[in-house]
Order: sequence, then C-alpha cells, then structure tokens
Amino acid sequence: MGKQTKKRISSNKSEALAAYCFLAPNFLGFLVFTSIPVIVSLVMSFTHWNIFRSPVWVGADNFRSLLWFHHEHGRLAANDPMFWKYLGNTLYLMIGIPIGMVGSLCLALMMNRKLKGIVIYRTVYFLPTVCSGVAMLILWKYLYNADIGLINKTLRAAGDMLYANPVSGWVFAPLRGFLTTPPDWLGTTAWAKPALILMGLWGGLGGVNTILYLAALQNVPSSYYEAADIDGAGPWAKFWSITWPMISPTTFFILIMSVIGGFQTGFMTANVLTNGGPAGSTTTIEYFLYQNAFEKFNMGYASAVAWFLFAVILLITLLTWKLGGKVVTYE
Amino acid sequence: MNRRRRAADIAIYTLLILGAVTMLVPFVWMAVTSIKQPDEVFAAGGGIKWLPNHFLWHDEVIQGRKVRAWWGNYPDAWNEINILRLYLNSIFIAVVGTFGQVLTSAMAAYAFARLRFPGRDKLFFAYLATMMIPGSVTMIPVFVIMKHFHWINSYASLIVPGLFSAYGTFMLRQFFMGLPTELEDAAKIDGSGHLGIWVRVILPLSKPALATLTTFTFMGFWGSYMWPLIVTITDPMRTLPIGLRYFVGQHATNYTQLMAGSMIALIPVLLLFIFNQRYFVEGIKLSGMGGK
Amino acid sequence: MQDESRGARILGIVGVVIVAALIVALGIYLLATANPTTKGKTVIRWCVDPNPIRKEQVKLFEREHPTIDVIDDPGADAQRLLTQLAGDVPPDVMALYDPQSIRLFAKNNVLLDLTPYVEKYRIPVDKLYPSLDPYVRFQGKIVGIPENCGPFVLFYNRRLFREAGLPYPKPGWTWDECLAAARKLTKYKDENGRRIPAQKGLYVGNDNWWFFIWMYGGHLFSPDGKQCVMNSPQVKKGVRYWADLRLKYHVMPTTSEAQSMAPTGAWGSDALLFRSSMVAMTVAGRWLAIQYREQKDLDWDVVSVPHGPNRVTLLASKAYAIPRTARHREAALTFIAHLLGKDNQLLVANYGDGIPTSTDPAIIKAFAYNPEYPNEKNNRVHIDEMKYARVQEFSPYINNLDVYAIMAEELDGMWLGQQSADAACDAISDRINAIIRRNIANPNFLD
Repeated sequence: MGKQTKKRISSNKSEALAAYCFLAPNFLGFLVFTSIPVIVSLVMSFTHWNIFRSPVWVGADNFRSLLWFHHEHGRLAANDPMFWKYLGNTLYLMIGIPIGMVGSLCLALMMNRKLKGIVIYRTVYFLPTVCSGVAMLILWKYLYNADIGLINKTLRAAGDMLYANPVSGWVFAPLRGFLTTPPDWLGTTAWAKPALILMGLWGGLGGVNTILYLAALQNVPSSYYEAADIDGAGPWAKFWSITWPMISPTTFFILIMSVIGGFQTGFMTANVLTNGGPAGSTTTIEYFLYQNAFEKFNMGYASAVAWFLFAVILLITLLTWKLGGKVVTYE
Repeated sequence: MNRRRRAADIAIYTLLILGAVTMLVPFVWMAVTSIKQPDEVFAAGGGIKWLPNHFLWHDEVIQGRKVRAWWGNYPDAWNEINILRLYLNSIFIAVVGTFGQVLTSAMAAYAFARLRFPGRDKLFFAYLATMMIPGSVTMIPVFVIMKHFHWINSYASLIVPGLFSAYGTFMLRQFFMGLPTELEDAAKIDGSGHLGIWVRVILPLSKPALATLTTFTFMGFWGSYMWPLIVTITDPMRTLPIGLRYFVGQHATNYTQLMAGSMIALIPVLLLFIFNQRYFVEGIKLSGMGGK
Repeated sequence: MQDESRGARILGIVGVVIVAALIVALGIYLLATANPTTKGKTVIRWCVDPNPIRKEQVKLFEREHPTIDVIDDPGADAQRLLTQLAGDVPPDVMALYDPQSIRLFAKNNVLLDLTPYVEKYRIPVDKLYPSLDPYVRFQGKIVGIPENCGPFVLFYNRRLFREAGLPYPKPGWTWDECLAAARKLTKYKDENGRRIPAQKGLYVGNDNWWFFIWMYGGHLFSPDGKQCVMNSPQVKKGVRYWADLRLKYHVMPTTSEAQSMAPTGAWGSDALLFRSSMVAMTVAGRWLAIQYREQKDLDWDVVSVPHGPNRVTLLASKAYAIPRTARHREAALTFIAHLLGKDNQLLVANYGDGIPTSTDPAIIKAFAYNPEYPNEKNNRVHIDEMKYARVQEFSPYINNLDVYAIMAEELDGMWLGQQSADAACDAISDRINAIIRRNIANPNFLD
C-alpha cells in the first residue's frame, strides 16, 4: 500500500514538475507582457506621467478629465470635448457593421447555390481581405484623390454622360452638383467618414464573415428545407423560419466580434490615409489613445483611455452572456 | 419551377459578376498605374485612361523627353525604400515570432489540457480573462519595459512581446482536450515521458489546429502596424507596413511609384493566397466555429 | 512502408534544419547591417523632413568633411522624435519645427546646451535674425540653430494684374488696397447653366489665421500664456475681415468653389490654384517658389503681405538641435556649424526653401540675385519682411496640437456659415481657456 501511494505521490510531483516545464516560457511571457503590464497600466491611469520625468499620483483626475463635465457659462460642458467627438467618430464608423453583415449574408446565400465556378468567386471576393494592410490603404488614398482618383473620375464621366442628354439630365438633376464636382472625399469633414465606411465595405464584404456564413448555411440540414417545400413554403418564408434562426449563432458571434473590434479599430486607416483629419473627423478612440501616449507622451491619460475601452468591452461581453441565450436559437 | 430557378440563377450570376468586377477594379487600376509614366497620371482632360501611353521595354527618349520602360517604376520603388530590407525584416520577425508563439502555446496548452498541477484551473481562468483585455491597455507599459531593456529599435522588441499568446494557448488547449486519449495511454504504457507524448502523439494529431494557428499568427506578425510603428526608429529596422507608410509620407503624389511599391508588397501575398486558399478558408471555419 | 515513412521523415527533418539555418543566417545578416557604419568614419543621423534638398546638403557636407558620414532620416515629426528620445535611440541632429517643441524639449533637459561650444566650433549664432530668438534660446541657453526661415509674403500673378489693368503691388501696401485689387481680379463664368468662378483674386489658406489675429493689434495669448484672448475686439475685427474676404466680397474661393475651378477637375489647394493662374494672389512662404518655378508659363512675383494698422507677417522656421544623449557630439556640432556656413545657407536659399537665417552681408548679397533664376528680382522683399516678421504665438499651458484642433474645428464652422466670426472667436477662447485652466490647476501638467 505504502509503495503504491508513494508512487502516486511521486508521479503527481513529477507530473506537476513536467507541467511547470511545459508552461514556463509561456507563463514567463504571460507575466512579463500581460499580467504585470495590466496592473502597471491600471496604476498608470491614476498618475500623470511624462516619460522624461517620474510619475506623479493624481488619483481619479485623468478619468474626471476624460469622462466628466463641468459648468461653463451656466451650461454643462465636457471636460474633454475631443474625446466625445472621437467616441462619436468610432460609433459612426460602426454603421458599416450591420451593412457589412447583411451584405456578407446575401453574398453567402448567393454563393451557396450549386453554381459553377463558385470557388473562383469566393477567391475573388476574398482578395481584398487577404491584401488588407498599408498597401491597400495607399491604393484607396489614390482612389479617393479628388483630382485624379478613379472614383471621382468615374463620377465625373457618369455626370458627363448623363447631363449631355437632356432627358437623363432632367431625371438626374438633383445629383448634378455631386456628379459634376464630386467631393474631396478624404479632405472634407462631411465625406471623410462615409468614405472610410465605403472602403471598409469593399474590403470586408467577401471576407471572413462570408466564409463563416457559408459554413453556417452548409450546416443547415437540407431535410428542413425539404419539409418546408412539402408544406408549400415560398423562398421568403423558408429564409425567415429556417435559415435565419439556424444561422443566428453565427450572426450573434459576428456581431459581437465586430462591435468589440470596432471599438479598437481605425488606427492604421487614420494614420496612413488622413492623419486623423480633416479637423479630427476620422480620429477614433484608438488613434486618440496613440496620440496621447506617443505624440503628447501623456502616458497616464492614455492609460485612462485604454481602461475606458476595456470597461466598454467588458460591458459588451457581459451583456452578450446575459442576452445571448435569449437571442440565439440553438437546435 | 425550373424556369424560376434558372431565372434566379441568372440574376445571381449577374450580381456575382458585377460584384467581382467591383472587387477587382481597384487592383487592376493599381496595376495599370504602376506601369504608367508620372505625367500620365496627372494628364489633363480628366478622362479615365486604362492603358498607358507608351509600352516600352527599354528607356527611350520620345519628343525630347525621357520615357521609362513599362517596368521602370518597379526598380525605382524598390530602391527608393529598400524594399528588400523591409521584406527581410518582416520575414525574419514573422518566422521567428510565429515559431516561438506556436511552440510556447502548444507547450502550455498541453500542460493545461493533459497535466495536473496545483492552480491549473485558476491560472487558465486568468489566461481567459486576459483575452478580453484590449491590446492598447498593455501597449504602453510594454513600451516602457522595452525602454528599460534598451530594446527599442531592435528585433527583440518586435519579436519577444509576441512570443506569448493567450488566444493561441486557449485554442490549442481546446483542441488537445478534444483528442482521444487512447494513443497517449498506449505511449505511457510504452514508457514514454511527457515530452515524448507531446512530440510523438499530440503534435502530429493536431496538424490542422497548428496549421491554422501558424497561419493566423504569421499573418498577425506580417500585418502588425501600430507596434512596429512605435518601436522602430531607423530605416534598417522597419518592417514592410511601416516602410510603405513612410513611402507614402515622403512621396505623397508620386502615384506611379507608390502603386509599384504596393504591387511589390502585395504580389507575394496574393500568390500565396491564391494557391493556398483552401487552407485559409478551412482555418477560418475552424477558428470561427471554436468561437461559438 | 516503414522505409518510406522513414525517408519522408528524414527529408522533413533535413528541410526543417535547412530552413532553420537560413533563418539564423538571415538574423545574423540583419543584425550586422542594422547600424550602418563605415570604417574609419563617424556616422551621424540627421532627423529632418524629406525635402529633396537634404540629399544635396549631405553631399556638400561630406565633401567638405570626409571623415563624417551623414544619414538623413526622414522621420522628423515631433512625435517620432519624442519616441526616439524616450526610447534612448536619439538622433545626432534633429529638426524641430515650432518654438513650443523647442521649449518643451529644452525644459525637460533633453537638448544639449550649445552655448559652451559656440566659440570652439565657430557657430555664428550672433549673426542670426533677432526675431528668430524663440527658435534659438531657452532661459538664456542656446539650444537651437535655425538654418532657413520664411517670412510669409504674397505671391501675385503679374499677367493677371496686367490683364486687369492694375499696377503691380508695392511693398507696404494695405489690406484695403489688396481687397480692391482682388475684387477686380475676381471673375465668374457660365458653365452648364451654373455660375462658377473663373478666377479669384486672393487665397489665404484656412490655417493662416495669424495675419488676421495680429491685423488690428490682437494676440492669441496673453503675454504670460495663461489666457487665450481670441475674444478681444481687435482679434474679432481681424477675423471678421478674413471671413468677409470669402463670404461677403467673394474674393477668396470656398472649398467647393475651389474644386469647381480646378483645371483638370483637380481639387483646389491654394498652391495648385495659383500655379494654374486660377487665383491671382496667394499668401505663402518662399518655399512655394520651388513649385511655381516648375510652371514655366507662370509669370509670378512677390510682394509683402498686405497690412492693416499694424505691419506684421508670420515667420516660419525650424531649428536644429542636438540631444543631450547624442552619441557623436563632436561630429554633430561640426555638422551644425556647417549648416550655418555660407555654402549651406546659399544652397538651401537658392533651392528656394526659404531664406538664409544669417544676416551676414555677403550671404544676403549672394541671395539677392540668383543667376539661375534671373527673373526673380524681388528676393530683397523676403529680407526686408524680416523686419516685420513674427514667430507664431504659443502658450506653455496648452499643447499646440490641441490649439490647432480647436481652431480648425471652430473656423470650419465659420466657413460653412454655421457660426459668425465673433461666435467662432468666442468659442475658441472658451475652449482654449478651459483647457488652460485645467492644465494650470493640475500641478503635474507637462509644460
């Protein structure tokens, strides 16, 4: 008996030892690059620290400057109006998420039919996602150029064509200004964000979301559809009562991931295309954070912004836990 | 019924083709611009010219002005920003970083999935918790740590912080837990130690998950932008995205060279993708399903 | 079967070993070449803007000083510089483009005090224009050396003036004279049933607010920098004048007008519009001459910026500084001394990038007449304008980035007709003062 226990104890010890060895490099990284930085970041957000001097404790001052309001001329004014503007920019840019999801779903539905050469289409539609990066942004900067960019050239050509003919000129009269002098997309505050949304749609439509939807669609048993056919259901009814609920977990997943990602995105785009302009209309929270941390070297304030982001994401995740069960249909 | 389906099919084909054209047009435009002469880009008249004026194989002098060969923009762009160095840097960092991250993740995942040790579940929960933390939270302290190690503007700062990934560990742990234990038990009976089991049983069985993790990690390193922007300072240390960004900053209106540079940056990625697209797609499905 | 799988496995292992060896070799190569060094020479890094002239300057310097190699590093924005200094990878010579950056760096003890080296390296600091002082000294110590500067002047199109029967403007002319000329130089035409401008008289860019803030004697900040006085009646009068130029007298194009005027469907930046003779006058620094020289059919000249009751114009410059932690101090000092020398000053000035900062009479004489561009007869205008040129204002209690963002946003509202000039000035004042108050109340604010 004693020998058995001894063997088990020593094998437990050796197993734990082996575990520590396997875990060590990963755990070291976890410690140095994740857990300690998280705590340091939290502490930093309560300090004011310009990297050339030592940090100074300021309590909740950073958060108050970021999130709170004060009285001015008898009215309530934000302590940091630019923060709320950039938050607004971030939310505005998330308009592309539902549009993109609908588009991806439609694309997936179209590609799900047994048509010839689907692989080619799938590849072509996936190209923008694969190539995303600075090179693509450079291309779009060029496309959106108000003078020689392809987009404005196309609009002008369309305008020339339409307004040469009096009939079509009359029909399309309200668009006249837009087509003869198309806007400076990345240079006007009104058009910069829509331009970014359009670019995002081009880049993301046939991408990851479509693949996920395709997989989900292919997982719907065809017996359901056959049963519906027997019941005489039309394509619309089939979609709403069978397809939509069956892919709801995917929809939910995509939505949550997109929203969480949407809060943290926009840096590369702003940095390459617009430098956050014009007049701050394409600056997102992430870019604002970078500006504070690495342009103004306001490390404490930047950490406060980062923790704000964290809080938002935590909130969304908690909400999805609670709501997830009610919204998603599981089979 | 058949006719309705045929009509629907035709409509769908049309839409798909239109969409595919829209997707492709920017790429074609990029390619076309990269073989034009600079003054053609700014040509008066404003019409859309798809074809360059001249298509020469060597530089020539036409009407007293020097006209470059059609491929002339490429060597210009190549030399202008030393694209070779940018590629080498990106490749080095991505390969070493990916190898390191996959290795450490696979090792840690084995420990979490198959080995018992005190604090295992609590530690794993901590890993899970950190997955929710946005990168920006840790970015600033990690920068300060890099500064203290004097690693700013070095390969260490570009690789080492990426050698660990909670996400990779999580994904592989889930996968390992789904593997049948018979083979491991057989290996244990044969006297194999944990290392042996890991190398000879677990890893070979996990090829799809490892391939997916490798692909995504590589793509992460390759396309990483904010971090290299912050920690690289001198030209020789820049990675491909950062080098391109400085290219734009310096030559904002030299569109022919910019497009040539972008093409050089994109073509390998494009080719890799086109020939391996099935693996990409499978990988996305694998990671997407795991998230449900 | 076993042999086959054995063979495949050996092949796999060999393949992995080869790849690993390649990667290691690559790593060694990359590390070895990461810091370019040439045998026997000191290599210094010069962090400056990517102007093409920099390469010429480097060649000139290396010819005269063969033991020093200079790498010009184009990442010279202030934020990149801060990262380099914070990360302890300092350049040897860096360019700072506004006085607030210089003050910030100097106050935080980042810059090398050049005063003890001025004599030894013969840096002719005493020959610099006095108005450049904010770029040069901080608390009595010399920290920056400006190599070129640009007082803003007015470029005008001589052909358009002749066609309108107007005499060429003379230095010292007033805003009212300029406005009268601009109105005669503004023409419209009919196109597709729309009345669009064929030509506009004047263009003063949206971020050139200094002329109008200072026009009637106003200021942006109080002398101690603790208050924003944009809402003073003088400033409001000046901004109203500016707004009227565009919104009342229509001598300046609005953004959409600028677009519709552009020749090939180009969008209308002031430089492009002036270059294509769509705008008769534009206010800019001398560096735009570089672009205008390329337009062979453009007959242009310069004159002083028109003035109101006060004759004043904006002075733009940049200064080179040496970080205290720079690795090659002597070589850097040699380089800076060279930059203020006659050869370099003339190289930069003749290229068109501003005017020399040295008041050395020999340099000024050589600058006044450049045989490469014989029709540029009015180079003296730039020199004379230095008497009236003033560096932009800044306050130690608010970051210029914030100031710029607020000004751009509120003035944008004014240009779009959403608020009057007075309201914009009030809004700017309020917002800047709120930030200043907050920064002053927080004793830990970086200033």
